[in-house]
Amino acid sequence: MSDTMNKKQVYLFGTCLIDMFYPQAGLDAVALLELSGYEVIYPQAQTCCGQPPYNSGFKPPAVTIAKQTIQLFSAKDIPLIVPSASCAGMIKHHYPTLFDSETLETKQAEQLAHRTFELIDFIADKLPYNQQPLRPPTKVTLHESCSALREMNVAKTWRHVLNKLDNVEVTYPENKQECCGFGGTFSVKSDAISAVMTQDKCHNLLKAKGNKILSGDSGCLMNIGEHLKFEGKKDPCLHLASFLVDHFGLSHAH
Amino acid sequence: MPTNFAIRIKQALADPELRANFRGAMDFLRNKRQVAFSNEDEWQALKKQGAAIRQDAIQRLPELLTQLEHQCLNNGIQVHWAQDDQEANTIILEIAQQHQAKLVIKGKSMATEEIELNNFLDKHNIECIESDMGEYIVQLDNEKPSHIIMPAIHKNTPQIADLFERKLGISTPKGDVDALIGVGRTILRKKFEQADIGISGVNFAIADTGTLCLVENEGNGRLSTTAPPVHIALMGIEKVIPNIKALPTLQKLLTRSATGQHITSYLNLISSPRKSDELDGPKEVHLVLLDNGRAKISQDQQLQSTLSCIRCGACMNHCPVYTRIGGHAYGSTYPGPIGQILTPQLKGIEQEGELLDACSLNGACGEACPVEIDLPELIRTLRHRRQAASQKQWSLEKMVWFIWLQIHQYPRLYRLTTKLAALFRTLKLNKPANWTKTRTTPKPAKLSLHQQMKIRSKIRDENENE
Amino acid sequence: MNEARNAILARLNKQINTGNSKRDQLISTQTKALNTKQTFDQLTEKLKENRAEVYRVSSKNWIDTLTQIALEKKLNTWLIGGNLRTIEQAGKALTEASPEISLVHYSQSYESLKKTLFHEIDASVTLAKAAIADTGTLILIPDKNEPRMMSLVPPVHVVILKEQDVVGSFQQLVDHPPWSIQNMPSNIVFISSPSKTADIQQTLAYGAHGPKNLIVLILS
Repeated sequence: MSDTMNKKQVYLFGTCLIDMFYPQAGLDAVALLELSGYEVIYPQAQTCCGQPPYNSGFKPPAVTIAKQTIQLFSAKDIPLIVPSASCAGMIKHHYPTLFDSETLETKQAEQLAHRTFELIDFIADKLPYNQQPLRPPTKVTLHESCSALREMNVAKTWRHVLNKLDNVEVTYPENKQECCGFGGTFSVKSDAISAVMTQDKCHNLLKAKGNKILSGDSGCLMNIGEHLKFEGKKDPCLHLASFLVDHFGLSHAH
Repeated sequence: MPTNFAIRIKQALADPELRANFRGAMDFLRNKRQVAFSNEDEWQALKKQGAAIRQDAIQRLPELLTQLEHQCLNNGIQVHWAQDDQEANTIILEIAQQHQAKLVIKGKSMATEEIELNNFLDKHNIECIESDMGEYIVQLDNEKPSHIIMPAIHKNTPQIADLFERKLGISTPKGDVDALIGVGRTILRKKFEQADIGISGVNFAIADTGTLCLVENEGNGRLSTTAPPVHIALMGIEKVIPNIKALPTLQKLLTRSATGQHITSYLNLISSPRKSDELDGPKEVHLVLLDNGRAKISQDQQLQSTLSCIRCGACMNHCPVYTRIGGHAYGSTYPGPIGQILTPQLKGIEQEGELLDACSLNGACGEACPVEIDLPELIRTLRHRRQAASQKQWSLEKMVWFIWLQIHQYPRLYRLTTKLAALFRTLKLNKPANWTKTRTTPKPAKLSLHQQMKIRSKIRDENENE
Repeated sequence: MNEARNAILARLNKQINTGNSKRDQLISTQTKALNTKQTFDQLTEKLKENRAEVYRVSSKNWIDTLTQIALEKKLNTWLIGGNLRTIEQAGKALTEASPEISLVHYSQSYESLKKTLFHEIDASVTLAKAAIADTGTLILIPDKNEPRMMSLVPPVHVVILKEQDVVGSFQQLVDHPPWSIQNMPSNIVFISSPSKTADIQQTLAYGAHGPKNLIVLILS
């Protein structure tokens, strides 16, 4: 008999980017959730939230995937935690609009939306701020993604969490409200415009002189990191979850 | 084969002076607006109200327009209806010809840009001079406006000084804005005196009193609608509001969003031509109501909110794409986010749908909109419509998403694909060229999150069973 | 053309609405009512912020103030309206102040007076019907006595405003407008500053097309 039966449960929606390219961020999300007292359920059948085709104008494939995702995470009425403001936004704000109103799918989508949270927002008030291990002082630059600033409105929470950390100085880039240029398929379809936006964002982020560039959105981090590497620089990007795991001295879940 | 849009984008991005001009201008306008809306509670309350007023008006267009027409006619304003740009141009031409007009002076009107009035009148040997300083500058350079509020925003002071020297033979000290404005004032004053007809737009038309509301800073709007013996006002049918009580909210939202001003130098309410005992004012006032695709938009529940737009320009001021490519790159009367939404609806989604690609869906536009138009959602919806309407049975993109669906629909196939991608992670496979022009490609992790979570739960189960 | 009207209205009538109207939001936000002194102070502050010159005057000294302004700024040809006793008195005082000062009465049609209006006037003086304190806005209602061009063509425009005609906000003004809704004036103009533009590289310049100087005399 495991003691997990007494723990509260949450679903984790890893997101396809984290799954394929940044699994450590996903494991760090698990570590933070467990630290906050939750048992994490990770259905293996999850794939993607459907945002890429949806934003590109291809609604039908997005609807198919959405239906599947909703079903998968409707088995239990527990919170769905998403370590990405943009994917969280898709599930929380767009899933309920995908189907005809008054249908079962819409009701299920609304029910799911209700219990969908961006990761940092969910654990913000649950972290042991009173028991922070002594860490050497560090300076970090926070990139507030568009989804965090607007759709999910969690950028404030990201700032609050970082401000509560001892010995962590947080800096922000100039024009921080401006998009980094990723925009999913925008980076490929409107590559010329995306390139200059990314250049500008990287320039401003570096000027803010943090040792690390933090964000809760892997898409942005990928866009920024890979551009900096192209310019021959080191990749200073780190998911907020990973930074917090490190800061609180947790062993990275494995 | 790059499209014209792609070519214009490239040109704009490669023009450092243009980039600097727009960067400076957009930062300036955004800061001004932020100061004007520094009270967050007030901003929230105002825009909710503004949204409600506009939505209500759009949903009552037939009733309000009929009332507006009735009141205007009572007041002595002649009312004309134009289904499209051709009809509008013809109506205006006929009025001009009736008065044997040779010179038309224009106040500022994006609707007249939309119907390309200047060209049309020019073809009929009627000279049409812009009197708004920004419009005058772009007209001098044979250009279209690049912003709906500040038409010459793509030019800096030295460029304008050069233009005046080239086209007018007048030289001014290169940094002296006052001198340049003085030149414009002198030249245009003569035109106000001489013009046979004054043409303006309408910011809001008040239905219950038959009143046209125009806002401006320069005074050219007032001069164009007072000095010439005939005033023609061209108005999109969506600009009507029920009564004057709606005006304070909309005026605040418009001027603060556009330039950060709490009110413009002038706000003009015109309800009739010169009355019998009055000494000045136009003897005839004509209101031309322009449909040109708007009625069709009003029928579409999902896209109807397009018509709520009060033409403040905040969306383009906040758009990171517009800030970098400028207004002319869009190649349409209305640039920026509202242009990307309006133009495909007014001119056809197949011809103009490409405009929709120039958007990262970052949401800054929707956040700034003073009447709560969900601009990103409209762009997304139009992208869906574009794909649904697309005649091409096969396109590379369609295939990409078809494959994408197969992979993501079948969890086992998905996990297999990610495993293979990880296995071949060190191979330099064909990556999207557009990405690799400025970025390295991320390498798939050795073990995906799926795999690691599986291993983890296996270990957990084993531990529990001990 | 009736055809166009019918076609447009027919298209508009095809609208299907979800009835998801936000009409409950259509209530005006009540602005806090200010007392007279606050209102006056705010009006003065806003006007000055927007580059208008403001003078607080009394019924006893406003004409002197006006004359002084004319002399200091060397404003010699004054455009005044007709049939207003107070304006007539002011006009008389102006001409008496200096032999260089002359008056032009706007008592003929614009067409006959055009050349004079555009080329010979240095300043005009008109009355304001009301003012809005929170934006520093003067409300003028041009009519047969004080036609529209008076506040538009001259390079300097002087406005006389009575303190008791100032209201707090635009919303308050439209709730109790100083004009007849049933019989709307042909033109009502709100003036909040001299003419200006920022069309050249966002640099503010005054005197674009309308008056370059706005001078306000507030009569307490």
